Amino acid sequence: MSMPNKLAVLLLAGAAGAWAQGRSPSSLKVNLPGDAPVALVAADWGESRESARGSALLLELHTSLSLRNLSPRRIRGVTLLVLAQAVTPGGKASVSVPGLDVKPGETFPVRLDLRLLRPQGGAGPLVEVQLDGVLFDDLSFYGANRLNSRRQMTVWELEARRDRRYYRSILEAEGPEGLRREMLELLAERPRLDVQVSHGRATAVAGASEQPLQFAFLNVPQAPLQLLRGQAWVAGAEARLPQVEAVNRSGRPVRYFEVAWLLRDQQGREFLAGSLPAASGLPLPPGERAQAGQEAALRFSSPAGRPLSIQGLTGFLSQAEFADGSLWIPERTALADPRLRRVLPPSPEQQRLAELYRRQGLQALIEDLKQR
Amino acid sequence: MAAVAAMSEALEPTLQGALEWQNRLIAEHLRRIFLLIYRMVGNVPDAQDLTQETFIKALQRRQQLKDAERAAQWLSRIATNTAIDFLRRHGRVSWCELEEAAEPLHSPERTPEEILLESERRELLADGLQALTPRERAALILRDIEDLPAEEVARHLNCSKATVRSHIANARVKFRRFLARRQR
Amino acid sequence: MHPDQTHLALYAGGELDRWRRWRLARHLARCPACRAQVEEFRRWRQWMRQGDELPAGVHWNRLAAEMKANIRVGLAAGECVGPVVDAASARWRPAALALPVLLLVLAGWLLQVWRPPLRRAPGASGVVLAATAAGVELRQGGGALMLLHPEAGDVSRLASGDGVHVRYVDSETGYVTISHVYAE
Repeated sequence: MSMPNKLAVLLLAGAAGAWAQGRSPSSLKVNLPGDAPVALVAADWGESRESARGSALLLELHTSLSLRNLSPRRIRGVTLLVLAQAVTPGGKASVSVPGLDVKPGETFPVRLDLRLLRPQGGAGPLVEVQLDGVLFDDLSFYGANRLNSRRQMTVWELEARRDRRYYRSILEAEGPEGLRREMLELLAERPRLDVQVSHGRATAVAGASEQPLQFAFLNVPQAPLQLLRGQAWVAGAEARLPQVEAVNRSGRPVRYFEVAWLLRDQQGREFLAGSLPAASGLPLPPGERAQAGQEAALRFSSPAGRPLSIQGLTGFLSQAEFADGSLWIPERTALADPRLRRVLPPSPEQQRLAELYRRQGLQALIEDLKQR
Repeated sequence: MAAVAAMSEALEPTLQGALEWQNRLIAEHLRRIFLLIYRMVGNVPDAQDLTQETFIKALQRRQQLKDAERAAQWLSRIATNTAIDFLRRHGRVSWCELEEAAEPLHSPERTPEEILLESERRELLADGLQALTPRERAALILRDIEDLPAEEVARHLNCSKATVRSHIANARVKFRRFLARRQR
Repeated sequence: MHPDQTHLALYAGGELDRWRRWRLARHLARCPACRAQVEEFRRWRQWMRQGDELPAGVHWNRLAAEMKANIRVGLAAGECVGPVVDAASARWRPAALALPVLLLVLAGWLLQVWRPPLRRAPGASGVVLAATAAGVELRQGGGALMLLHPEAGDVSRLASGDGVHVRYVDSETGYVTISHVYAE
């Protein structure tokens, strides 16, 4: 979606005091287009800092932006692009807040807590915050969508609706105790791995002890694509160039899809490894094949320091976008597989509901489920 | 120990009453118990975990509390034992033998309160406590910070009054020597 | 002959029995040096009791909210009857919730091993993004820099096509927040 050329640049005069002496307030910018459905009400940059690191500047952002909903619709999600520089690593980040329910005229906070790098000198503001997208309750979208935030926020919203329906049905069928059991299960620890992702030259060089390891697949009911085959080059705890081939079994062209993948270690424990995006070159006509993968080397490790050796890989389709913009996500029942329940993290909405339960109790959770 | 608010209502006549009692207990004692445990274990993450464990244990055993007005002591006892068990399990017996140096017989020129800023005080207290054994630390905290009578401290630590007096005395002497060294 | 340090320490706290207290009081009346030591013990006791400062850097409201929430969950988990997995599977038996079962298809047996072409990935940066429970770190050459360090208890992380992202509940806003760091 193209944007009007007119940009409303907001100078943050109050920021000067918090930054290193000598920096002008125009070093920090929040760029909201003139027709944006949100307006910046306040920005507290109080603890933000900059410091020199060799030839680079390290920018520490600790800020809370207060945005107001100017539209007549409820806002369900927002994604901001935070940019110090776009070329080298560490210069770009995004912050998304799904699970919102902001009425027209209401304000809501978005917190930025991150660090960015940029070369010293150079023109323009040190940091620019841009609005990549706003998702509304009718699933309409506003924004530049440079980060594909429309698709991702819509996925989160569809998951939220799916999960809320599910919990309302639990409440109806089993009462508050059933709901409490669900929340405790959400709050239970899930096995997690730390991961190092290497991009660049290192990913193209095969290691001596590497072996190709084939993917197994979980078929998800009503999935528009069927996963056919896939592999990664594996040595120990490292998986390089994971790739999966899929065929479009639906009757519609597919614009994009993602494959979530699990790895199994030497003790048979499974962990969520990551998500493989579809390669470019889509849309994919019905019956045609395409690949999803990652041109990277991923090294996994256990937070507890236990040695890890990858013994198996399993993939399943986690989302698909059709050429007409509509989206597909797995049904709740498809995620009921005990393997997936043990391993998959909660959706953002599940996490929000579990946190609501944890902090405010069952009654607050029940009221929230009834309201939205 | 600061005055403890009395719990005058009857214990748990209804489920709603139980919840309110539980919330009140936590609200009134959380900070005190956290500080008590923090001084024993010396770091925030462990103190947080052990504080949570203390309240969970206490509330799961709430039928043991016969007199609501003794809730504070009851909680302190559970907290102390939880912290000591933790220190034993994790082998954090980090105490040092202080040398039998000759003690200066003159009074310090200034009182402690005049010398130290709050952050230094906090650090000094934490470091000084870490120089004690777990039981000495517990005894000193309960007696000199929580201001419990010696008999009560003995009950908390499940030992005789004579033993607790020994812990208290050793703790005070070690603590004083530690502070004297730091001030030099 | 001066009394033992431990006796002076106990005298300062009022823990000596009556007989020893009387004897020591007689000595203190004649001995300014021991008197000064008792005063010092008393001052340090007083000093320890002052204030209830929290450890540096602790945001009490946030920590208290976190602890209360975890206590609530801990109590609820203790009251749950039966293993969660069994309860979960029992939920799917009722006809209203009965739905198709996932099929596991093994795709490992192929006549030929499928070898996707080795690609020389763009760029030669050798950049590593590391996602851990602490956040996201950028590593390049011999150096490392923490880019994201959410102050949250439960941080999930995921490697995706163009970087890594972490998901957590922001402790200030209370919203689920997803921060993504781009590799290039």
